[in-house]
Amino acid sequence: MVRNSSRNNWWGKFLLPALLPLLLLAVWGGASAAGWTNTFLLPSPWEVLEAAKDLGSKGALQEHLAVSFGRVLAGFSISASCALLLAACHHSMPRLEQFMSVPLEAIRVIPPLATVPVLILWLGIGEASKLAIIVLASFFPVYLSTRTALSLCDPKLMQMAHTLRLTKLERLRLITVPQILPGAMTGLRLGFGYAWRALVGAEMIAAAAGLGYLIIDSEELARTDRVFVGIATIAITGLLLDAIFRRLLPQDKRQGALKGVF
Amino acid sequence: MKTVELNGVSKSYSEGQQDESRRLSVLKSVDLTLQAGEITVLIGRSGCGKTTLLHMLAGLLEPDAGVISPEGIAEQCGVVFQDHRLLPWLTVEENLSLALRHRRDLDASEKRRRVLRVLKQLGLEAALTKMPAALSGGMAQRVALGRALLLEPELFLLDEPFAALDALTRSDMQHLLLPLTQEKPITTLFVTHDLAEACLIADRIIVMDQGTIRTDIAVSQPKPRDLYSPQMRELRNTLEQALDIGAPHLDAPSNKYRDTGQDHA
Repeated sequence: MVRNSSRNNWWGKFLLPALLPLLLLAVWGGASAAGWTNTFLLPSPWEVLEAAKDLGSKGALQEHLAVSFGRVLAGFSISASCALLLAACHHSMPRLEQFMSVPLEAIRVIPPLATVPVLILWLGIGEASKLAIIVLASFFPVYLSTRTALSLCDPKLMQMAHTLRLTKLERLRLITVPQILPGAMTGLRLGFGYAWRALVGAEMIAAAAGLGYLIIDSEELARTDRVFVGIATIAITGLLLDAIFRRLLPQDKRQGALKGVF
Repeated sequence: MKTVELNGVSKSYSEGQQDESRRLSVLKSVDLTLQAGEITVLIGRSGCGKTTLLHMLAGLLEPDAGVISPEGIAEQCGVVFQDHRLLPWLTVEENLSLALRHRRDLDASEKRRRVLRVLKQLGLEAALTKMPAALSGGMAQRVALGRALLLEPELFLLDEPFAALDALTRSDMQHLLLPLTQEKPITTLFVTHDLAEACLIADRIIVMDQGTIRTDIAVSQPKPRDLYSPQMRELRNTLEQALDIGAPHLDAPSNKYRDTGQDHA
């Protein structure tokens, strides 16, 4: 029984999820080898691999990755801390929330890319405007999840805490934080994914390095193989970061629809 | 041991959020004395103001008018709610230790000794390292009871603590509570809507109806009590009359149970 279940586990955890990517890769490779594809529109897997090796050996790919990673990390740190702070403020000050609700809703529905011209005018073409796009893209998942989690806190536990004479700080640490943790964690994970996704948009603004820059620059040079290298790097890094994120952060033990979303 | 008094305590809630003129009066100038070391049972129908009164004694609600004395008694009370309200992310031991966090005068080993003593008193030694989700309803409620006792309260408040349990577990809990309260008497207010429970544990029974005290009965029979003894049957009858319940009289069937005949035609 034990061996059987561990084999099931191995199958479900690694083999089954790997099957579809391998199948797609095989179809892609087969079609390229048979000459059914236009190599400019869809270069073959080995051409893409060759381009990746070429960029890697010159250190360019690593540099682009490092620059992009730094931007996402900086932007996400700003947006996550602002979002957590604002969610906490709005939870304790409903009047403030009502006061800010209309502009917040409006900003939420504007796609960050639509603000690029204004951001360039206001913040210039330096790092500030790139960070602003990442912040705009990743703020709301964190804010909304945390705000919802706070509003779902059980007031009965607070009554109990009152009768146990816990101090304000103890109530926060022992009761509120553990209660909002699953919701806030989901928000942080989603927000990090959104930040990573906004990268190309951010690096469309006069960037000289970064994965987004690599993609746009390669497109202008008609190097489709390098475009694919850029896209694949974003995808693989994103998957790896999400896996790390899930291991680093306290486990959310609920079964939920948001699990595995990136 | 302290005697706790309520004088002219009133409370009302607004029914609509906008309309302040339509207020629902929950407690109407209630005078009540909880004698030191006695178990006062508060009984009444849902919505009669029992829980509101208990929450005021616990300091969870402020009275609109009236005085609760001695002042600051809310700071010396222990409360058991209908649901156990254990923190699901802490073990039984950690949940119990919460009640001793504010005791700066005790060192860690003394705190642990007290937690273990309470667990033993309640027959919960095996649950020490368990999470609340792994406990049965009765066990979880015993932990909640222990948590309130660890506070060493001057005033013990129980808000229908066994109402959510099955009949057998409820009976076990009632029998568990008796020696605890007899060993070391605490001024206790026990809210319930279970007549048998009231008869078993009360030193005094207060019947509440629509925000006022309707009947006040002292119960002097020694505990543990036999529910089927003549005195207990009489007490139960008195309570049923005070609450307008009981079997309809056979010789005068009540009109409200007689159907009109049209539905079955």
